[in-house]
Amino acid sequence: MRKRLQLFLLVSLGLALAQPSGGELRVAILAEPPVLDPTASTSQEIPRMLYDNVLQGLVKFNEKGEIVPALAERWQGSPSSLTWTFHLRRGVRFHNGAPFTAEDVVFKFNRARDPKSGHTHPEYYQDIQSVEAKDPYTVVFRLRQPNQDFLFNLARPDSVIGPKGRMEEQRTQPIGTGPFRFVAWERGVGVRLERFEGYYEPGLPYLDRVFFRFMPDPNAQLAALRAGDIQVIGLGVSPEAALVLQRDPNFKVVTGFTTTEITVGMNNGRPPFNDLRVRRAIQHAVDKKALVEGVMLGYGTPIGSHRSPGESCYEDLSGYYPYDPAKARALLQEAGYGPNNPLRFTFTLAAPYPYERRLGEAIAAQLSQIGIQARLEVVEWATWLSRVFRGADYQMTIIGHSEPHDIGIYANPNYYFRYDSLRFRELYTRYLRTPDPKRACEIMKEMQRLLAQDAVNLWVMNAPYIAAMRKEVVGWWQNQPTPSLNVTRVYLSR
Amino acid sequence: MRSFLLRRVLLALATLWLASSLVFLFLLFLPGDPVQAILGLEASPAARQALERALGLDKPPWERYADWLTRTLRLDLGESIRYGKPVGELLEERLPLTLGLVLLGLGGALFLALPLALLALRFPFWDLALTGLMALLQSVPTFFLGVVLLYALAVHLPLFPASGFPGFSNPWEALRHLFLPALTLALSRAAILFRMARGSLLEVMGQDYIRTARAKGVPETWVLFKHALKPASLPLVTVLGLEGGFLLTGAVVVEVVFALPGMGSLALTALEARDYPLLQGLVLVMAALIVLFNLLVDLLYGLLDPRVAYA
Amino acid sequence: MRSPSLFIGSLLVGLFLLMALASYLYPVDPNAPDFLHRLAPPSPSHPLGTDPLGRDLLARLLHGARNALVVGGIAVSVGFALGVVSGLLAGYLGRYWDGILSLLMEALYALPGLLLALLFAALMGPGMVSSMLAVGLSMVPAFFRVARAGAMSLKTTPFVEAALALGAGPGRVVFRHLLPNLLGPLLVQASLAFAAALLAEAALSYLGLGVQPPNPSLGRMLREAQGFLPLSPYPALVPGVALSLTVLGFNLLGDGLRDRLDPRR
Repeated sequence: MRKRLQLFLLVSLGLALAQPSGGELRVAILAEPPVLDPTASTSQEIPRMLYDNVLQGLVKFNEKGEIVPALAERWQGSPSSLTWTFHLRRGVRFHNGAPFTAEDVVFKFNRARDPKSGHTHPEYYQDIQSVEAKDPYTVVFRLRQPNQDFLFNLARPDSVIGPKGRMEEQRTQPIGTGPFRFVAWERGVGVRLERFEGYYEPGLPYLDRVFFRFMPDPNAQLAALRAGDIQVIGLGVSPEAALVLQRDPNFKVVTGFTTTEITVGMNNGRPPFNDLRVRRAIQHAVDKKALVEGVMLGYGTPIGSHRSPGESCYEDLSGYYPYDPAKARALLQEAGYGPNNPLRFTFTLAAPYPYERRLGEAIAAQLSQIGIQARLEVVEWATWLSRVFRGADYQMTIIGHSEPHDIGIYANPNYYFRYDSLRFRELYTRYLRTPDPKRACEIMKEMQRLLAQDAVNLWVMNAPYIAAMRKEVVGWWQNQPTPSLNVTRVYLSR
Repeated sequence: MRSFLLRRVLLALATLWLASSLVFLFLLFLPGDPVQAILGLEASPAARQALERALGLDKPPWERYADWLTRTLRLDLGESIRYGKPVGELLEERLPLTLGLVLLGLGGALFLALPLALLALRFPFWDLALTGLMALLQSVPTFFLGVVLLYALAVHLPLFPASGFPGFSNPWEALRHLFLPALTLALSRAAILFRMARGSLLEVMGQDYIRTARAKGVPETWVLFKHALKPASLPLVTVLGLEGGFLLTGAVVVEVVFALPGMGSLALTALEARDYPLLQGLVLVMAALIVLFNLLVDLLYGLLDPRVAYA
Repeated sequence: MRSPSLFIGSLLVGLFLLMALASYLYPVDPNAPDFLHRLAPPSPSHPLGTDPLGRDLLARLLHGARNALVVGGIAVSVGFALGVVSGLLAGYLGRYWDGILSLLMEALYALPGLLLALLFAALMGPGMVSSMLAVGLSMVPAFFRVARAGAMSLKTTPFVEAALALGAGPGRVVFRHLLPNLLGPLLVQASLAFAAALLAEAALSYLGLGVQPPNPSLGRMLREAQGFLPLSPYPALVPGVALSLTVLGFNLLGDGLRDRLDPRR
């Protein structure tokens, strides 16, 4: 008995040593979001700070990108995939003390599917015909037609649930059910979170306080990390800085995958890129491996279509167009370009994104080796949004598409790539309406192949996730299957 | 005197009106719009239209200008699009930091420049060395000076925090956070004050009454402190005022180096988000401060120097 | 020596011009990365070492100097042209011309230079031209003041009155008689403005608004090297020293010219 007690003490001591709770974690992020409600803006900074930490939905993504229970304990879909029943976790409270019930879920999704509500993505929810509370802990969704992405969409940051009736206040003072509660948003400075004592998972979270600081300048971030002002640079550490920090015993670098496809967008609706041969020539003319090695110092994974290796139903097409300058030249010649009539166009870069900027410059340099003259033009972000993204007034550009599972943008012919393919649209609809996940997966792979075949864009690489932190920070998410600096299980070892 | 003051104030107001109207005109030509900046990349067209109407961006430019002018005349700076808060409130949050930084920087520059100028005049050997050093300090980019200080005194020797500002509620912490940024500004601006002080001291030292004092056997150090310092500091005051306006923008770079949430970072955010009311408010307040500094200099100059008559 | 600042200033400025010229002779591409030699110390293949991306620092320095020449040139030309013409007109014509132009200059002076740079970057895209237009514009009031004061004091001198009596028009008086006599003080102002433009470019590059990568500018190189200061000092030292000495050179040149031209001394 005594021995057992000793063992118990040792074990609990060991646990206590391994996961000391308490303390404040200060994390630098690059930008300040316009609001703190993920349903009012698509700014990725909002979920980065709040997803799962403060705001939760029925289901959520884990570190690997799998869909796991959050506010719903379990769920089942009918064989037709038209009816979905969610059984809610009991005894959950919002940070303001109100109990979480089926009514909150009904309110949320009735608002989300109303296009006039100002919800940023009503299209995620347009197949929901009705959402009903069968009892306080059971919610039934009825769909108009099967939607393969239904569950995925429920796990997105857009689907987080707040107290019913609360809308305007969520923009600046978000209330959720997560392990941390929102304390303050100091404009221009940062967002403060505090441990929520009423959290439903026992023992979590470990930290007492979290402070997300807005530090737009990467150099200031590095200096602040070294000086101990912050313990974590949450994302976007430059590859060079990562190499330097890795050599320092006080710091560690955490890297993994994201869902960001760094994409050289080509305007398929305009010369010269309305010509498939030119688009294919571009694919052969760019050496992605050299870009990953040279520009990103080995961080990142080459891709060949609009999907990231960490996502489900991924097909590796990075070798679809091997690097082959001779073939690129031949294709260009076929399209009527040559030494006397070189291919010339403007390559628009958005100023604030360092990886993309640098990749764009390196790509232009590679293209120039086979006589393609890409004139680099740097524009400011707001200009990029209105001119390139909204107006499709460009020839070539480069940007990271960070939303997870966003291949559907190619089904919209008005999207800034101006890719108009009936076949792709049919495939996408078939994918959505196929209830069987395995068959849907096959279609998803076919979609990726079709995009590669049509060489719509040049997909360069999956952007690496690079964070840097002090050695004592443990439990940081290695990947970014969805934008989330998840601090639920993070602790400071001493 | 009174009519001079009145004219000067009217001129200042006209200047402000013209400056901010010029900016308003400029903003009309800018590509990009605030709605996109708020809603982000993938927002739906319906959400866009709703927000556009709510912000009043569907009105023609002249109507917007008239709206803006009448609002501003009532001292109402409007509401920030980006933050959904009154612009006045946002400026109130940021202004103390930037003003504090500027004043500390100026004070520090004066604190460095004046004794060094006296030292330089008293000991000719120091004169050359200090003049050279000051010229060099003036030629180093402010941010580089800041980065060197940052790595030396916050990273290598962790004496001061490297970034951020906790607010003035705890004065000791506030000073600790402002020390390195203010030192950066002080070092880079001390040169001008040093040259000014040295120049005017030299001029004063050539005056008859100084010669008289020396002839009476007053010790040289005493001559400097007692007889030369006060008259020589007059031109210094005016330079100080002009520098204040200059530092207001010079502080922005230092704010970035030390990640301080001041007016500079607010201006960068406002422009990126195309937050026109906030940008207008910033322009107005910064311009007003510069105009105010100039006005003060004019008045001080007249008060201190009996030779200037107000006509 | 009568004016050491004039001598040292000319020397440094001369050195700077030589560097800018040498960019045409040094055959290494300033933007070509050498991934095997990142942050390398000086060696025969890279006389000044390399930066974090393995680019040759000497090549970047020389091209940076060339860009600095363009930068300062544009800014000072804009400031000079607009400021001097309007200043001479205001000073010479007086009356309401003087009132309107002076008010406009006051307004321009009240707009923080950084804000102008931000606005121009938003309008034209961030880059060398937009940032230098902004810096040039913010320098207009300084040139305006010098030119206006000069024109006012020269207006009543006998030689101008003589020219007027001989039937010279206002344009002829302003540009044939006033401008040449004001060149001295304006040259002083231009030299100081050149130094200020270089510093402004460095500051704007630091904020990401100046010369755009991969093109080297001295300010930009400094910024890019900042994070690696604890690892290798060369990438920061090389442009830092070059920039500081160049600015020092133009400042000293301006001071020296002023001392020589100032009749009081």
